[in-house]
Amino acid sequence: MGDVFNQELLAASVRLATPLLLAALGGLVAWRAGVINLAMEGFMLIGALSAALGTMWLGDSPWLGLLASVAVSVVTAALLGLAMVYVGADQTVTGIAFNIFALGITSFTATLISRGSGGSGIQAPLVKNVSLPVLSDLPVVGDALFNQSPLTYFAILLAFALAIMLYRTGMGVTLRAAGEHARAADTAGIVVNRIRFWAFVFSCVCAGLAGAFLSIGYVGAFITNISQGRGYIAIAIIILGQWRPLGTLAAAAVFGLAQALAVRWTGDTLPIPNEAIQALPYVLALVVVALVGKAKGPAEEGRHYQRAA
Amino acid sequence: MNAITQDPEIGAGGRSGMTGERVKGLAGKLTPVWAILLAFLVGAIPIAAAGVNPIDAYSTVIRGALGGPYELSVTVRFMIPLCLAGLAVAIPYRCGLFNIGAEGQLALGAVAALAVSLYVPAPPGLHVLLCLLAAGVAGALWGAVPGALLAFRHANEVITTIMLNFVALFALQYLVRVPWRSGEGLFPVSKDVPESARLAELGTTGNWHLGLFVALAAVAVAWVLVYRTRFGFSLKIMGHGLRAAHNVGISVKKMFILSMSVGGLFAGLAGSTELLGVQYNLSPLFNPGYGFDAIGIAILSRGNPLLVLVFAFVFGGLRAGVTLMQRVEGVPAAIGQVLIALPVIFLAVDAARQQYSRRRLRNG
Repeated sequence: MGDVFNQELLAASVRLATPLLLAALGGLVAWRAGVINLAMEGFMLIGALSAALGTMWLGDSPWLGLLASVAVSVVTAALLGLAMVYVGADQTVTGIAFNIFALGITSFTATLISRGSGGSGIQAPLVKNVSLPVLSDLPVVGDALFNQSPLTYFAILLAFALAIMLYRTGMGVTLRAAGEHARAADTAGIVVNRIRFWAFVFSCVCAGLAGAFLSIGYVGAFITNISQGRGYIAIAIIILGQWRPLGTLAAAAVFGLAQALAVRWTGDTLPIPNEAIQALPYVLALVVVALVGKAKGPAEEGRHYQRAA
Repeated sequence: MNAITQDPEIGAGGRSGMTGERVKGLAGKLTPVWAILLAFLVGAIPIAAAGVNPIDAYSTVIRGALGGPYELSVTVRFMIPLCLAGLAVAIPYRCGLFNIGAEGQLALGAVAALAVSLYVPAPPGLHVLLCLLAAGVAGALWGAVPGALLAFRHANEVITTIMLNFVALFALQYLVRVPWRSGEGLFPVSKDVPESARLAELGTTGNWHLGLFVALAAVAVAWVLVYRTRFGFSLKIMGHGLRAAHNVGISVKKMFILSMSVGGLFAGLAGSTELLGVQYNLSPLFNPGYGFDAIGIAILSRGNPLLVLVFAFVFGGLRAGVTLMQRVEGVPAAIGQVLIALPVIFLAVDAARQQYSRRRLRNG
């Protein structure tokens, strides 16, 4: 049993937690503003494909790939945000349908393009890991924690930045007000739907980057359905993290560890089946939902706001 | 509005938005048929980008779906699980609940059916019935969980069903990988359903099997439930508003649990017909996303069981047709998912737009 719990496991957990954390942090911002973004799964796919294509077509530079992923996510999110926030299309229906659409259009595009390139698939060079000086030389955890993808560092910094933004700045108050009591926020001069729109776009960009991490930070190629439900996992992580950035960071670590254990736990060396380990975080999230119920979530979640009552 | 959805007595605190608004909210001017046609029009763009004439591509889809007895049998083979899963979403939808959990309920239905087929010996006819029964019960129980969490803990059913899907899927993966595994292949596959528990094939050509009658019977039952019973009437009133439903004496909490259970039952049946009539064994790839297509079907049919059957046939035909289109025209079959998703998005946006202008009118 001892050989499973080692540095490798720690490093793998961090790697696997990265896309989950990125998506969850974005989703958290949208949720706090009053929009439940169920479309994150779809944006992960779109971000993953555009990052791989961007890298491939823009001179094998993964950084330009990331830029492409952000650009495509922003444009797509703006369209969807228009429909969901301003027109008020049902967030659940639109979000889920968008995921089906995204799965279809990314597989379609990837099939066409890889066929054009002689069936070699859509391969792209990886964003290189950055080893942080001094820290990566720490014993035991050094190499596992501080020799990671730049996106991993970005995600962790983002968690702290959002913690400060949400609770220590006027912008955070505005954002939370839009999600807790839209009418009151409106009366106080906050343009609720504009806040929600940008929060939604932000969450889609984060999900897109999470997808980009999968394709050009982890796998090294785009493959069909590369996200494998991670956009939905992000929802569970936000809940487990109690709609708070640092809580979300911790919850993402839990899911990352569970996934890493499952990957490395293929033999029958341990007494618990790896599926049980993987299912455990979801059960925890369900218990959290059952215990706190509605109490902790933003009051206006999922509701369309319209002025002039 | 806040006061009503937050009312602990009614127990809809976890709902996102008011249920009545949601059901009415999705009835815009755009009819589902126009939405589908519009989707085909938009879908022509990527097909043309693939260098294929969209008219050729679509006529191949239609040929692949309806071109002959074999093609029709493939369409119906997909229609059966889509129809049952569509009912699983449609019933709760009538009272304003979103059952995103059809995926998980379907998986557990298949698991229960396989368990009974392997471990409960019975004579041929009875064996199938027992399997179907077990699948329905398993799906209903799994559906009751989010219903109860909503009723008693105000937990948003969209969120809880998503998580329950994962739990069910991992349960299926474990059972297939360890106790029920057959062979030593790299990819885990379960043991086969014994002959006595299979849904009989109909005819000699194609994919016809007895599951067709399970689906048709389910539509009939759902129709009676929805239009001819107190349960169905309660669903309808709840769809117009929880406060009104509460005031006329409907136990809203009980109905949350009941409607989700009935939904789960149909989803469980979807899993069992697919297992007992088509695949005969389970694997992690058992379900190609019927539960998500089902959401689209329920929205297009606006909760009407007969229309669920119709749109399940359409989507089933699409699944059958795009395969031929990929083979003959070289257009990737994934376009099928685009064609399934787009009409749903169009309907949602159109409905909201209609509501928006109505409110503008009312408010001057």
